[in-house]
Amino acid sequence: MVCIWAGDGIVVKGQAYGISSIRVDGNDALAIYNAVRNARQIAINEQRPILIEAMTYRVSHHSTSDDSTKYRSTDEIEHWKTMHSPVTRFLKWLERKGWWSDSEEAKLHVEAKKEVKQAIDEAEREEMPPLGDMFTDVYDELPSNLMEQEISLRETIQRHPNDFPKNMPI
Amino acid sequence: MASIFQGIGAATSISSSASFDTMKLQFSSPRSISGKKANCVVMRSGGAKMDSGSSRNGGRADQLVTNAVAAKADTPAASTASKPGHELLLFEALREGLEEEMERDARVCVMGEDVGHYGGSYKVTRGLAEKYGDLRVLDTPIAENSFTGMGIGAAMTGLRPIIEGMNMGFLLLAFNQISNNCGMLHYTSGGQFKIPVVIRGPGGVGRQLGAEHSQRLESYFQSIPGIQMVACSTPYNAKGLMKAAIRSDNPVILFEHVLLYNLKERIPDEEYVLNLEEAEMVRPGEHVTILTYSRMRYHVMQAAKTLVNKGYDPEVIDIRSLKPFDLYTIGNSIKKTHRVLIVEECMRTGGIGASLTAAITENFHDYLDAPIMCLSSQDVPTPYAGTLEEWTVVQPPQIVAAVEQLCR
Repeated sequence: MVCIWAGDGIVVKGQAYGISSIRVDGNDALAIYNAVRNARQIAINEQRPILIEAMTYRVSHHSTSDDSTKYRSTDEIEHWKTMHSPVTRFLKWLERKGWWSDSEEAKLHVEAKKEVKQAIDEAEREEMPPLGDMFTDVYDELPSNLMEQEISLRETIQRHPNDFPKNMPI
Repeated sequence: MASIFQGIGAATSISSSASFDTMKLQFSSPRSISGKKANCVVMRSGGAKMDSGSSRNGGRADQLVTNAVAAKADTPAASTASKPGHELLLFEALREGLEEEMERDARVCVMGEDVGHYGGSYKVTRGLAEKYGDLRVLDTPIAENSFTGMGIGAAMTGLRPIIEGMNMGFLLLAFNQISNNCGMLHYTSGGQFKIPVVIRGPGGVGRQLGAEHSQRLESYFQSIPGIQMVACSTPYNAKGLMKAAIRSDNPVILFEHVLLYNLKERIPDEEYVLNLEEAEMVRPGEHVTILTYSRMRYHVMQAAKTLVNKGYDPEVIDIRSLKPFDLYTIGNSIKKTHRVLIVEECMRTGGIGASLTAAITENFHDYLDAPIMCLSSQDVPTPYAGTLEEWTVVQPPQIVAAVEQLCR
C-alpha cells in the first residue's frame, strides 16, 4: 500500500495545534472504545480537546459511480474485508469468551434482515415529498422571492399536469 | 483577446446556402448597437476577418470553420464539403481538442483529480497520461485551492495549464485563487504576468446528485474581472471552444454539463477553432428570440418542435459566450423578432439570465415589443428527491407556454 502522506498522517498535526492526540487501530472495537472513553473523560474533566486518529481501510467503492478495482487489486480488498474486518474481529473475541455462538449469529442475521426489509417496505409506501418541500428550510421563513417562485411553479404545474411527474403530492 | 466588434456594411455575398454568418450580415444595421462599440469590423472566424468573397471550402488544414454543424449537411457552400468528418461523443471531442493542442504546443499541460492514471472521471483525459507522461497530465490530491493555485503559478511562469475540477462545485474551494490570482494578477502586475489557464469541469443539475453537486457556478464567477467564460453544448463546439480557450492568453472558464458528455455528433476532420466570444445560431426564426446555453439548449429545441407544430417560428441562439455576451448576434436577432425569452439553468437571482436581461434592456430597449421573459431555476438548493429536482429545472412545456405568452 502506498502512503499518501509525506509526513506521518494526521495525528502529528494535532500536536501543531496544541491538541493531545492519539492514533488507534480503527478496526479494533475494544481499542476504540478505550481510547474514546478516556478521551471523553479528559475532555469533560479538563475542558480540552483530544484528537483521535483511527486507522482503517475503505472496503467499499468511493461512491456508486466508482469502480475501485480500477486502482486496487481485488485481493487487497478481500484481505481487509476478511482478516481485518472490525465486525469479524469483535465477533471472534466474543465467541472466544463464550458470550456468543454461531446459532445466535445466524438468528441475529435473520432478524436484522427482516427488520431492514420491513423498514424498506414502509419507506416505499411513504408519500413522496410535496412540492412545498422544495421551498421550506431554505430560510427560516419564506421570503418574497421564494413565495413568488412557488406560486409560479404551482401555476405552471396546474396548467401542464401531464408534463410533470404524476402522483406527486402538491 | 479577439474582441467583439460590430459589423458595419461589410460587403456580403448573399449566397444561397443556409450559412448563418451571411444571414447575420444581411440584418446588420449601420447604426451602432451600443454607444461604446462602433465603427468596427466583425471578427468571426477566430481572427480571420470576414470579407465579401469568403470561401468556406474546408480544404486547407488551418481554415477556420464556424457553424459547420448549424448548417445542414446538404447545402453545398456552407459545410466543409468533401469530407464527411467523423462521429464522436462530446467527451471524446473535448479530448480530441485537448490532445491536438498538447501536440501542437509543448507547454500545454493538464492537472486535476484523477486526470492521469484513471483517465479522468468523465474520461476527457483518457489515454493522455500514457502518451504525455505523469507530469504533463498531473494527478493532484483532493485540494482544489492548492492545485488551482499551482496551475496559476505555472501559467505565470510560462506553462499553459488546463485545470480540471471534477465537478464545478468543487471549484468553490478555489474561489480565492480564481478571483484574486487568476482574474486579477494580469492587472495588478501591470501586465507583467499573463495567466493563460483554462479552468474546466462539469456543472449543472444532473440526476439526483444532491444540492452541492448540482451547482451552476457560472452565476458565481461572472463578476470576476479578468476572466472569460464559455459554455459548450455540442461535440462540435466543445472541441472548438476547448482549442480556443487553450490558445487564448486570458484565463478562460469552460463550463461543461454533467448530462451532455455522451452526446454524439459528426464533426469535421479538419482542424477548426471557434471564436470564444461568439454565439451560435441554432435555429433561425422570425417570431421570438430564445437565448439559452448548455443543457437548456436541448430543452429549448424540444420545445421548438412543439412550437413549430403550433405555428410559431422561434429563433434559437446558444449564447455560448457567457462573459462577455455576444451582443452583436443577440442584438441582430432582437431587431428582427422584437421578443426575447431567456432559458437558463441558473437560479433566478443573479444568474446569467439576470445579467443578460440587464444587458439587453440597456442596449436594445427600443426594439422590444414585450418585456423580456427569463425562465430559470428557483432560488433553492437543488433537491435530492427526483421529482422535486425535475420541478426545479426548466422543462419544455414551460418554454412553450412562455413563448405563447410572449407572442400574444
